[in-house]
Amino acid sequence: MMLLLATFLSFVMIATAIWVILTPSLLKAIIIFAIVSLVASVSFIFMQAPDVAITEASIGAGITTAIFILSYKRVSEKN
Amino acid sequence: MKNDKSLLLNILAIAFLAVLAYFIYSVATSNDIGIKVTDNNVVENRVAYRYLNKNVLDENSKYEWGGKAEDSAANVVTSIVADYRLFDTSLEVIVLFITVMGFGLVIPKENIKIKESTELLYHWTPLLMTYMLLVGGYMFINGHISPGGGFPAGAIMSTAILVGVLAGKQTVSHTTLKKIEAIAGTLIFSIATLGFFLKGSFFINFLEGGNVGDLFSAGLIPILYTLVAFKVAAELSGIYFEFYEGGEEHDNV
Amino acid sequence: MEIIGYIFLTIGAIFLFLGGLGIFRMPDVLNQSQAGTKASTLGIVSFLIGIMFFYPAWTFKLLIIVVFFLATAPISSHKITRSALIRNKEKFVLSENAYASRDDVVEEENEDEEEK
Repeated sequence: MMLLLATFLSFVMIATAIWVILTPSLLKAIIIFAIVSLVASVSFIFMQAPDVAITEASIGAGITTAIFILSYKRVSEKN
Repeated sequence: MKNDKSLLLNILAIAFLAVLAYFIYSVATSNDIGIKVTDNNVVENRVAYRYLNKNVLDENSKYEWGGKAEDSAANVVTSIVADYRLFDTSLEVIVLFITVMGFGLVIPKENIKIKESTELLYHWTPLLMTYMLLVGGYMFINGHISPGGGFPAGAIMSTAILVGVLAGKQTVSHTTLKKIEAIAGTLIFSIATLGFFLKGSFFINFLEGGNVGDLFSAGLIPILYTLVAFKVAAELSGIYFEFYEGGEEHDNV
Repeated sequence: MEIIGYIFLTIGAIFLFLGGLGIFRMPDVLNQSQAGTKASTLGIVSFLIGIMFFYPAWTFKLLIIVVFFLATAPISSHKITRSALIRNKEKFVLSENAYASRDDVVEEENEDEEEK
């Protein structure tokens, strides 16, 4: 039962990662990248590592997305 | 240099860093017991040898809540990160510092002020910031009992300042963050080399441990995690201030 | 006591699913955010209250989580919707007055024709 759920989550992560590459808009790709971080954090809980899950959730889905969007705004204003 | 005072401060800083660098070099190549970088001497000095020859059928080696243990932290991951492998953690702190420094080098400074956003966010921001600081503070104070530790606690405390920047409040100045980061980083290395004068080998946990599961247990680990949390929080908050104007010109002090 | 917990958990799960279904079916960003935040808030609050009946020792911590979620979900949806409105301003303009009923429009047209 748990093995089935973990396999399903890994397929979701692969599909989302392929979707990041194929999407044409850059702002969409940044937000979909946050979904990959979220699925990684959940699968860390399945492997019974709560320290790594907390770190990945706070840094991957919070700080990395914020810094990406601020940099994107700064770069796209010049063009 | 600009004047004599800045020359004196520069010489003192270089001397202090040279003393620390000498100690870190000698911990990497010494032949005492402990964790080293050059692990190429006798087999009896390696960590794996000590752990493979431990006796687990003994009556004294039970790990239960409220008893004694070799390293009395209830969270085993914490005792590996901050006691047995403290050398690797200190190098990670250096890597984080270099990353933030490189980030500040690449982003060009724009002349955009931190301006006030919508009224709803401006008035709810103090409550959100209090909550985020509370969660982060709980995590590094109880780093040796419950999951977490210093690194995610610093990341969560820096999101409190991020909410403030997005809403239009600048709560701390940029120079205060740099001072906090410098003091915390220097204290980490100084405390780690203090063990040589007290107990004979570098990076050792020289405070007495209590029972497993108490708040005041595990020796030096809560102090180290407090310093690491403040250092990481100050570094990540400094990134957000690089995007707006308001940073002063850095004098050559 | 556990039966009440199971009821709350089922209600929470149903509302979370309906929130996701609403986001899938709505055509516009403004409609989607309405469906998402309202259904998700009720779903999560009911879910956490359902857990409270299974582990009574965790009551205070779960209440703090509920208060935190009620305080931050409306603010985040407010910011998302506002930024979506600022970015695509020309897509959201109504082409006609949505509150006028069809009878008033037909009466005005007849009056205009009689005056001419």
